[in-house]
Amino acid sequence: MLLEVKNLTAYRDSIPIVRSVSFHVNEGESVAILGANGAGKTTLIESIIGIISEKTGEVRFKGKDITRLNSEEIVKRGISLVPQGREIFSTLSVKDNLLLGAYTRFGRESMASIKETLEEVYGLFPILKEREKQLAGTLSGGEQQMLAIGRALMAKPTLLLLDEPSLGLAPQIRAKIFSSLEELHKKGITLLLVEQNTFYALRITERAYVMETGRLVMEGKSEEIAKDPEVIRAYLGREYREKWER
Amino acid sequence: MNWQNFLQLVLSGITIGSIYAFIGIGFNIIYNTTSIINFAQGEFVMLGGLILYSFHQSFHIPLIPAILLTLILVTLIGIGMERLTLHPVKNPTVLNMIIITIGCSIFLKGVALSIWGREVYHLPFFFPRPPFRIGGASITTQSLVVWVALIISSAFLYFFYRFTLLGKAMRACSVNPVAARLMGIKVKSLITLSFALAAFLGGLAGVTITPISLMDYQRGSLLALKGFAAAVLGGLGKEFGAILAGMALGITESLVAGYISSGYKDAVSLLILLFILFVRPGGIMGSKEEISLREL
Repeated sequence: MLLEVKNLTAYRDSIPIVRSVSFHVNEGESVAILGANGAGKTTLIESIIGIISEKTGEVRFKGKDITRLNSEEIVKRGISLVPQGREIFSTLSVKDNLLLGAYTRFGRESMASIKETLEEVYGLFPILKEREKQLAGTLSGGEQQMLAIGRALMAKPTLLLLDEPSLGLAPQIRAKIFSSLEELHKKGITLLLVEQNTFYALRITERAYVMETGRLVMEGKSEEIAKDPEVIRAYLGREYREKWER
Repeated sequence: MNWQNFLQLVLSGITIGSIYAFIGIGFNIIYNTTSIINFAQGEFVMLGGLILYSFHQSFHIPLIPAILLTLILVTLIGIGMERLTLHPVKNPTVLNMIIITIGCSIFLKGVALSIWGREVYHLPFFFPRPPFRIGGASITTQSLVVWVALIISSAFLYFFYRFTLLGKAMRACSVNPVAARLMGIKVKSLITLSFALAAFLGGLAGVTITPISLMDYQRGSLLALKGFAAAVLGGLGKEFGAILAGMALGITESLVAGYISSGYKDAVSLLILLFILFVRPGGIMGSKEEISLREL
């Protein structure tokens, strides 16, 4: 088990948003956490990576307890997050954004191996190489999302967390982002994807959990969840049903 | 108009301007990591001057070791200030942090008042030589000291923020502290480092300008006001912007004082500040693009 979350309760301003959630992600897997807006998905992911420190329960990564570590330490151990809203460094260049993604690797690894990762990221998103000197804030929404994913990959994570990577993107770009995530997964990166866009999320993951008002209410193989009309009606909404039927 | 007189006014304007610029780049350092204005920056300058006075004049330590000791002490005060006041605050907002620096400024001024009193202190020039003459006007050796120190410091900062990983990481902290933490950047340690750097440069400014401007416990705030104007005018975060703006302010003040009346000089520099902020809110060197991105 790569990531194991046991009875995690996480708070924002002392209000419990995530309530005793338990789940796990195996090495090499691709897992989705689905749920409507306000279900507590972002809080869950932020408490795993240590941005939210007000929490009880246990988070274990590679068998070690990381519940009380701060995010700097957690990133060093191999978890990266592509945050919701992208959160790029808008006034720094695209290349500087990417290099800062590898911040924890400087000094521990050779410059050549960092450059190699940079080339890999450019291979995945060629547009970033074209724009490497541009200020990151001048990129389009889709390009910024690619930059945010590329930046997270620069740390060479074992586990990549993604918080709503498709939010606010045009359909074609959304498809492009998801296909690049599929490609990453094929290369062996473990993915934990938090999404409202269930259609795509279920297509690129193997397993999924459904979250509702702070609790995980069901778990199953993505394929099966996608075909279960009851689940879709109850949790995933009409939009999804229409897309799937098409 | 007398050419010699004009040249002299411009030269002394450049000296005054470099003092403002020196203080202005101190503001930039902390702004570059935290997006805040450190209102205690002037106090670092004041402490630099007064501590050097005590070491050199009262304890008779030779000049060079006295300067080094002063810079170390002011840097430690900067670190101490950040560690004791800003560091312990959980998730501080920009406004919280600014108010804390105002508190620190008042505190440091109070401490200085109790140690050095209200007296105005004077230090000798570092190189006691007669002034150089250029085209009938004169420049003191101490002005040259200020210029050299200013140019070296700003070149260092320019290189540091644009070409080193640590410098870029510091800028990242100011743009988006949460995302910076997600990169594994220790944001709080870098904030401490930026206070150390700002205190060091503030101290260096105080040390080099005291022989020209004299120093007392409240002179730091007055100088900081002009330094702040230079930093804003030049575009916050831009080292060379602060130099250019500082010079522009200094020369204008000097010319106004020489040709109109010294009573108007402060008003004129503040008017320039207001005018530039209306026309170019990002400052002289601030890129419009960057400013609009910051507001996002």
